[in-house]
Amino acid sequence: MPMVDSNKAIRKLQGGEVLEIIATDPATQGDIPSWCERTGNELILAEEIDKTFKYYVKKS
Amino acid sequence: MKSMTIIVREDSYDKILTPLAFAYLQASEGVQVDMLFVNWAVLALTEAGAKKIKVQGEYADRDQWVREQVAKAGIPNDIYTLVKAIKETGSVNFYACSLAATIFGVDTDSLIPEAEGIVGASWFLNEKADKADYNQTF
Repeated sequence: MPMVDSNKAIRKLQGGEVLEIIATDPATQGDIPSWCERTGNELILAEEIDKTFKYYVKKS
Repeated sequence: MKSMTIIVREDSYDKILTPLAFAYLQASEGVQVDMLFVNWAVLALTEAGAKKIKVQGEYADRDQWVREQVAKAGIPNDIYTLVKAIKETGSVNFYACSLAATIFGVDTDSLIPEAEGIVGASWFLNEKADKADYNQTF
């Protein structure tokens, strides 16, 4: 579950550090930006390459 | 959203997955989730009952296939293992409905340690559901 894993991972980071998320679930294209908006974390990159979705999220 | 309650009455493997996945998702984000297991679903809060949970009805013959897909999605495909993972978030309380416990033969000793205990539906509805930001029933 990408959102469960992302929440677990970002808790381990310090503010300003960047989390790389690589997912195969296309629903993350909606879930990740929405999650960043709710949490105040910054989505600094979102891209799709061959049905794989990559995101860089900077922890607030 | 800061808190939500989920009432679970369906105990078929595929049908119990959704409320558990929703609880896992929300709890991972820090939302307080209180779950009440009613009807046959109360058995999911016992180790023996959790092991017996299977896909039922029209899709019963696809139980193994569903489990394989669940594992591929990165979710523990055994219900008790999933419950333990959810509990580890620290944001989910599992309650057994007292009426369901009486009817379906569940007592405090048979509950999994991850369960908070057996509670009355009135207490849950008034103290948890009424005070939560959001309520769901499955």
